[in-house]
Amino acid sequence: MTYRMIVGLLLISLPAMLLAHGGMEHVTGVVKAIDATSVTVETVKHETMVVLLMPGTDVMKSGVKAKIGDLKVGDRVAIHAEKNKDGKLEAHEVSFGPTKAP
Amino acid sequence: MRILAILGIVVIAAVIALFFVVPREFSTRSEASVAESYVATHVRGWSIPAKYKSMRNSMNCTDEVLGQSRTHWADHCATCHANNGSGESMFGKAMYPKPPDMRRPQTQNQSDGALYYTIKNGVRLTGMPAFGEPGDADADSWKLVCFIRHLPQVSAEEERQMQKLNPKTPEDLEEERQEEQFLNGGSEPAPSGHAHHH
Repeated sequence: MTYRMIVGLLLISLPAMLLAHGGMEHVTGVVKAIDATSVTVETVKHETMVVLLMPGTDVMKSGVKAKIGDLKVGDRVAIHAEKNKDGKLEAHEVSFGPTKAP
Repeated sequence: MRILAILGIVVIAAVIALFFVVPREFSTRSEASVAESYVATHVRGWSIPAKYKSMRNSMNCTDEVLGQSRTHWADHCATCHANNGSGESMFGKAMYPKPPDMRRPQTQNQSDGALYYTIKNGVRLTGMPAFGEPGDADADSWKLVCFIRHLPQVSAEEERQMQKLNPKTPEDLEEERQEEQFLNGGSEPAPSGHAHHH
């Protein structure tokens, strides 16, 4: 009986284990402002989003590792970010520049 | 009398367990307690047969083997353990117990055979399943032991290569295509330009 109860409890907890995972936000748009700590993006729906730049943020220009200083206002950008405990977006990867030769 | 004493110990243990578990509401977001961590690491360590603890990896960890095991890791292991072995993946961060940071001594100090045994047998009451058929001669798992040893030295370039090999849903692939189209000067990217991605 006890064994069945333990198995039952584990089965009940399984869906929560599978569903309670964090998500990654994808922000695509045009750079409106940039500084050492954040990049402001206007999305295609004209939402303005601020994404924090972290020490571990990967920056890729045309598929090649680059520096955040290479990113300019007006560039098209795709950012993969995650919300921190304060609800602010922290960038994991910032990609910009065409990925195909013209 | 003796039965009553045993029952008393069982009841006290159950009350203590409930005291720690119930306030957490069975949430997987909590960090494992010191007691749970101790059980997870030490008791599990004791359960690994001595034969495996003393086993050395006979696989020659060449660049070719590391390349194969890196691909295998990205496809089968990184979903929970992350490409760099930190456990900081979407699933890993929300699991209970969380996968260990395999770059640290807690994992790196284990013997080759202990790592192999864990891959082959999994770990009960965690998200770690048993992989492959039972036995001591699974070349792919020994190659993974090579890669686990390499984890502390995984480079950013290796991580980028692995990202391309990580399992993706059709939705992920479509989102990647739309982002690439947008960066190449095409029209609209993802419908909202701000997508929540699981």
